[in-house]
Amino acid sequence: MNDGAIPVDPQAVKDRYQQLHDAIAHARETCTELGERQRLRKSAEEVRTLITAMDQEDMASRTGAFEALGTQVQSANSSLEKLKQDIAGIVQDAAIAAKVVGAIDSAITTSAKLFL
Amino acid sequence: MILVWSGCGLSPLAKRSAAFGNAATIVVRDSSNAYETVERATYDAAVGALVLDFESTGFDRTKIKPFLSAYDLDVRQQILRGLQSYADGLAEVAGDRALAPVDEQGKVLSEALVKLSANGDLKSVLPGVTEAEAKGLATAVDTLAKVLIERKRRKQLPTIIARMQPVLERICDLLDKDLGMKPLNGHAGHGLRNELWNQYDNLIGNETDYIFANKSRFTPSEKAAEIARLPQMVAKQQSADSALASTQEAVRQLVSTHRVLLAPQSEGTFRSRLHELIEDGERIAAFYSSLKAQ
Repeated sequence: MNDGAIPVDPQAVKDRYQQLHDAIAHARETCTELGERQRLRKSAEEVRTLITAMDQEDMASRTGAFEALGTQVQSANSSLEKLKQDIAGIVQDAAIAAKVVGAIDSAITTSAKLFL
Repeated sequence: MILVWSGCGLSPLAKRSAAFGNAATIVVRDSSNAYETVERATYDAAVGALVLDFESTGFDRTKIKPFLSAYDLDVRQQILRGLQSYADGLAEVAGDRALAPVDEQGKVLSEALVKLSANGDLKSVLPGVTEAEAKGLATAVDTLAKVLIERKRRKQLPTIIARMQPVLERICDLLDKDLGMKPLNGHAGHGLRNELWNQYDNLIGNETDYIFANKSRFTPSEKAAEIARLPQMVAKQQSADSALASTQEAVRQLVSTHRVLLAPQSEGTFRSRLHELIEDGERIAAFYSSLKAQ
């Protein structure tokens, strides 16, 4: 790493950029000369842009995998929805029972008028 | 049978699933906040640079860029919304709420049966039907409905949960990688934590530049206030990273807690994991809220 050769491992490249970024960030904190500060800020911006681009690429590499999992999450949610509907169906049956009893009540009253 | 059911309407699996659903909601919200926190730091750093450059370059709108593209962010938010629906669905289907309409219908049925038992004409056809018997019948129907619901849940919930386990593992693994690692001892980090850390370095650098560029214009108290912001920003960098690291831990815990949902023998493990998940999740959520308020 110290022989000046360019590392080919992406993590090693990123490590070098990060070391440079940290050194510039430290220099920015302690530098008191305005012109030098401006120069350091531009250098920091350039290095950070490269690190950010690598991070963005890393994040983007997972987007497809996230997207593919969406269908499976949707499938689990559909199964939960189906279960919810089944439960609603049972509740509905109880509601029908209440309605039937109400109907029996009025049917008995009506038939009593006719036959009793 | 009736007494048993009225005493414990929810089975252990239903109780666990409902509790997990509620805890997962917090973790999903924290994960969403993690992306938002990094985007806000990126935006704040860009605005800081704009303030410093304004007199020399004016306003260049292309310099205000998000960290993640709208597409990358949208795909992640969609997955988190899907997980949110799963958590909500579990809590709703497995929790007390699923039984509430049954109780309501049971009450309506009971009232209808009591009315029927009091029907004078019925008494002449079928003498001896009492109000207590009518209420008993209503309770029986109510109980039967609850038994049927529980049977549905017992049959379907384990399949849904087991099918979701590998999906959740994969999603949480991707979220874990997205959250990444901060730079440490000259080694570059990656993901959201790396970006957040570097953006805070940038914010601190911009604030220092701002102080130097304006030092002759500040009153002593203004200058002191600006300088005092620097250590505060360093502390905020640490705590913002801690929030992301804790979110990462909560995401990992979510997977292991979901895994023990179907293991009745590990009730103690489930409870302690759930407890940690909720406690950590709420603490992280409070931190993200404090960041938004600043």
